[in-house]
Amino acid sequence: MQRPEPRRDLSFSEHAFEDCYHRTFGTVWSIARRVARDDGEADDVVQKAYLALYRYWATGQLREPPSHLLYRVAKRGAVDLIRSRQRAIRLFERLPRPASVDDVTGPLDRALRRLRPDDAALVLMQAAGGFSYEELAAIERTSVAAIRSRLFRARRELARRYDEEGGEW
Amino acid sequence: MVSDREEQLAARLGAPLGSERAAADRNWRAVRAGIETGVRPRLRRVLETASTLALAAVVVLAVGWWQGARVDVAGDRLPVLYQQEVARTAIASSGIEASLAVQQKHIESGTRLRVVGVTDVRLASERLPAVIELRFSRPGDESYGLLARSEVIDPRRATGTTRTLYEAPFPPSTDRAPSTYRVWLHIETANGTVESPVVVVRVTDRPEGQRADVAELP
Repeated sequence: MQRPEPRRDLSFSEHAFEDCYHRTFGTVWSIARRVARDDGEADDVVQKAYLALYRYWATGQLREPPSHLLYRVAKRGAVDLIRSRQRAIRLFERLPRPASVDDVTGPLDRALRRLRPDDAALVLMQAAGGFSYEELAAIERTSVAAIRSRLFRARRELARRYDEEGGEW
Repeated sequence: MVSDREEQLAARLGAPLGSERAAADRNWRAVRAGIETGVRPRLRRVLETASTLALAAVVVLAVGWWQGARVDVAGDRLPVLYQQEVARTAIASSGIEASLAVQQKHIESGTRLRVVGVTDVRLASERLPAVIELRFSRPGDESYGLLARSEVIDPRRATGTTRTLYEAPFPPSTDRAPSTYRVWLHIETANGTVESPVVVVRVTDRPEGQRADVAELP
């Protein structure tokens, strides 16, 4: 769950960037790690997101709260990862995976990866960040109604896939 | 409507991962390294370019200063680079050594530039008494005016040479239209009159003051 953004001040400083990093990392990591095969893949998504945020913010191009851009880029990274995994899964699924602290291979994670990539990333972002529909609409730059509708369908689909994967309640 | 089952799944997905703390440290180091190698060099390049341009400007100003150019701050606070000396002429005759330079400069602590005729006249004692005049006329005028006049009667030096120096400002500009002047030195001495070649300058009123340049007679 993310900590609230302290203020709508878009002025850049190294301190503000570091504060943003520590405030948002849990959510960004959760989004990336649950769709990645291993920590390395998740690291790539996370680092690209923060470097993109730094580049926009430090050069004065940021026109929205830093976390909004960050989550959008992280979500895009997660979507790309899911798509690339769906293409590569038949080739590499028998290869041994690096050891990881997290077990993200259970029925819930398998069900998540069977959703449409955009839906999976949206569900993850809402779950990991605890965002309201309004916050998600602002991050995604869409309407609240569209977010509500997409989330409703995605979460229902997730529950169905979870059952199919033999998940327990 | 969101069911309890769906809420339950969302809660599980939102649970913190055990790897989070280690990942935060690891990725922070990587992001900092990425900033140093990716974003900062661009900033460094900008700073280097700015430093080079500033150094080039300093060199240009220094060379300009060395060659007689000056930098001034105009009325609207814009820096102006100008050449102090606009034109020069001289007289070299027996017992007379004189020069006339038309310059643009600040005089009498004024904040605006003025165009002045700067004369340096050395007269040998056998030429005295003498009258030195800095004359000007407008193109087409039959008469002339005086920017400065000086009478020299006695030798002021043991060497027998009298030196007379003065700065004479051109008439103040009354409008923005340029004014053209013919300017020359006229020296009447005990044994004859000599005149310098005529210098023709155009004087224009600008925000920073009077500016002059060499002109051709119409």
